[in-house]
Amino acid sequence: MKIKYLLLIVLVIASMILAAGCGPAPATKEPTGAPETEAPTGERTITVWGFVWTADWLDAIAPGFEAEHPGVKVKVERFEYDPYQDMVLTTLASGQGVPDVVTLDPMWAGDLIRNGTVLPLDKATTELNVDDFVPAGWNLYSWQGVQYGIPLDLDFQLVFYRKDAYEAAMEKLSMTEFPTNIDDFRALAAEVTKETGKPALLLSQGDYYSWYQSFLAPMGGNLINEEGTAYIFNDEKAVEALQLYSDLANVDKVAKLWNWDVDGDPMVALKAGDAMAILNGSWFATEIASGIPEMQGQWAIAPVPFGPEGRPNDAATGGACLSIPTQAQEPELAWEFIKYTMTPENQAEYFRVVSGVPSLKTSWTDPALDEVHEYFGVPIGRSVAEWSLRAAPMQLPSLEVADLIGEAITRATTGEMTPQEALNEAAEMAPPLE
Amino acid sequence: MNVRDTVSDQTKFHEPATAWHSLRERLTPYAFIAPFFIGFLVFQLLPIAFSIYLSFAEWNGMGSIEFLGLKNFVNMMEDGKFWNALRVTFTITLFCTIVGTSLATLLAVLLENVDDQLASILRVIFFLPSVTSVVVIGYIWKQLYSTDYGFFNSALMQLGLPPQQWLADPKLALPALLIMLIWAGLGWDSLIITAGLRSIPDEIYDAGKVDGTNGWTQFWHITLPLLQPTLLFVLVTGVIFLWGLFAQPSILTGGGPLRQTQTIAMYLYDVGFRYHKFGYASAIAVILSLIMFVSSYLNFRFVRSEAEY
Repeated sequence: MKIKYLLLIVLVIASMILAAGCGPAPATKEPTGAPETEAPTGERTITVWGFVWTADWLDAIAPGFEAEHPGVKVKVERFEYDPYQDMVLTTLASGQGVPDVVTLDPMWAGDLIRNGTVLPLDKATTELNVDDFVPAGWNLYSWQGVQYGIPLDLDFQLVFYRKDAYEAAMEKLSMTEFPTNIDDFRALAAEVTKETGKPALLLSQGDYYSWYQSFLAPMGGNLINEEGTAYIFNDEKAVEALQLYSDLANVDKVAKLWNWDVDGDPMVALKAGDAMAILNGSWFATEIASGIPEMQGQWAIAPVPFGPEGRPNDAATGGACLSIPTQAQEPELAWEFIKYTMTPENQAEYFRVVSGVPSLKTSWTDPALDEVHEYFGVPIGRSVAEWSLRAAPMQLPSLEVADLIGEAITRATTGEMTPQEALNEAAEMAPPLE
Repeated sequence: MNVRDTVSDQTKFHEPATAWHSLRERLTPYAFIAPFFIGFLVFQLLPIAFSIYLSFAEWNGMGSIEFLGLKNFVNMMEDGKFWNALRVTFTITLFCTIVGTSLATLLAVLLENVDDQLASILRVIFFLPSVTSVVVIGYIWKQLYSTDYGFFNSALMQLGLPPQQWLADPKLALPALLIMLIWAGLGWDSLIITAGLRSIPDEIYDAGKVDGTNGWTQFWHITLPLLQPTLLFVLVTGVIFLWGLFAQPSILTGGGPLRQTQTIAMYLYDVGFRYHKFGYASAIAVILSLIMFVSSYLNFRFVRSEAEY
């Protein structure tokens, strides 16, 4: 009998310990503003998380911050891109090992911001010069008027096209430059397809991000209304954008739908000469240059031509940001670090390491942006910087909404539903906005 | 003083030591098995209990847990994506257990009837997928199914037939996944069934021959009935595995197109770890566990009753 009691006590204690461990993370701290108490002695450390190249850049600039802040050590932790999202989510949920500064990706930052997982950056508007940032980049990480992240680069959408095929077609059509409106592009793409027998463009199948950035934004649509209270991705502009997306593949037959999940890396198709252009963020320049080095000099870039002539915006920008988790141990120091990363020198360094054009305009005076890209033969940094000034502000949907829009795109492009029906269904199934 | 008194005195004298000794003796076995039970408690029982609790609550993984009662389960009944995932998983489970087990039985029987050396080589070949990484298998099949650069479409075109979008067409993706799953499980199942075949005594076949059985009647009236305990094992383990299927469709199709290959485990993952709805994900997990339990029980109940001879 005694043994049973003993065992029972052991089990109860173990249960209590585990229940405490399984439960939600401890109550969150107050947002920035209340200064942290400094450790009485010894070195203070801030932990900064980044993925791939971003981490390389953070590593490169961290010593400068340490030199400016004696007694402070910056610990940069580097992650590969694929497991990074899970790592961030599980760590922030558990409350254990939470970094002080975290790099967020626009593909999944929306949920974290709306969940209250990252701190509102109240000092951002007073201690940083907001006018120095490309508006679309800055607004990306603003939700209901509150700033939650400071943008790093501008993931501006571009058309990467084969010069030989497109320039031959342009000459035939007496075009002197790459089209800037949809009508001219359709004519050009048709000519390219006719001459080469290959798709003039690869479009991502079921990928909301690509559709949003390249079609919806330039055509004047958006995901959520300005007040942040209702979805508008099934309005007239969105339907028009999806109709065009679908028509390029199914009516004009100039685009090939590429499903990254099942078709794999599109570099295979580009390398084999099975597609004459692809839409992607400016970061893809590095991928093409390293993926198909033998085709150096054969590729060019242009802003997306979707939308009418004279439209107010080109593609929307994405790009990562730096944020402070709610449970950061050193939020004040973390903010100082973020401010430090946003100096023109450090942002120019970002361009040199990551090749992404920074959101901070004052960093654009750096000569690095004028360097001619060996592969493309043009100064990509300068071109993207100038084009991105016409970028539309992008909004961050939840992953659930992104998936629903992705399915709507697939339904519309496979002919299962009309664009209006598909987007309506997605809007009806979307979780309510809080 | 009689003997009884003497014994009684000795007992009194040694009582504390004996009691301690006795307690130690009784506790020692528990101490030996305690690591397992503590591990089981900490890593299985309590997470399960926590998950059951969460199934009645709402939690985004960050803030406080809000008790909802049965709302998650009510929502589940109206969730088309949940029912779709259930349909997909049920189709996979049914098809793979019936067709997969039948093919594995056929293969095992055929291999028992070929030359030993050849059978050994063939068994190794068929068993290879069972010891190959799921990721490797997934990527190989993805390559085979590739619309533009895959083997299957290349073969179709050689025959003058149009290429197919094996993994991108909503109608073809699930059959494509089923083929891969059956191929991958065939070697393992047939190995288990081979062991079952070899446990059937030769005397029974000899007696059957005396009674005039031929190949087919021998298989139908002797092999199959006596193989049922083995088939039960294959079926039960297969059903449990298939209801929890995650990695293979994740790699091959990512659950698409249009969720046509999204299993219930994949949907659960999406709801929990991508959409941050841990309460709802736990409710799905509870239902999934119940389904697995009931399927296994039904298999066990009906197939075993048939298997008793």
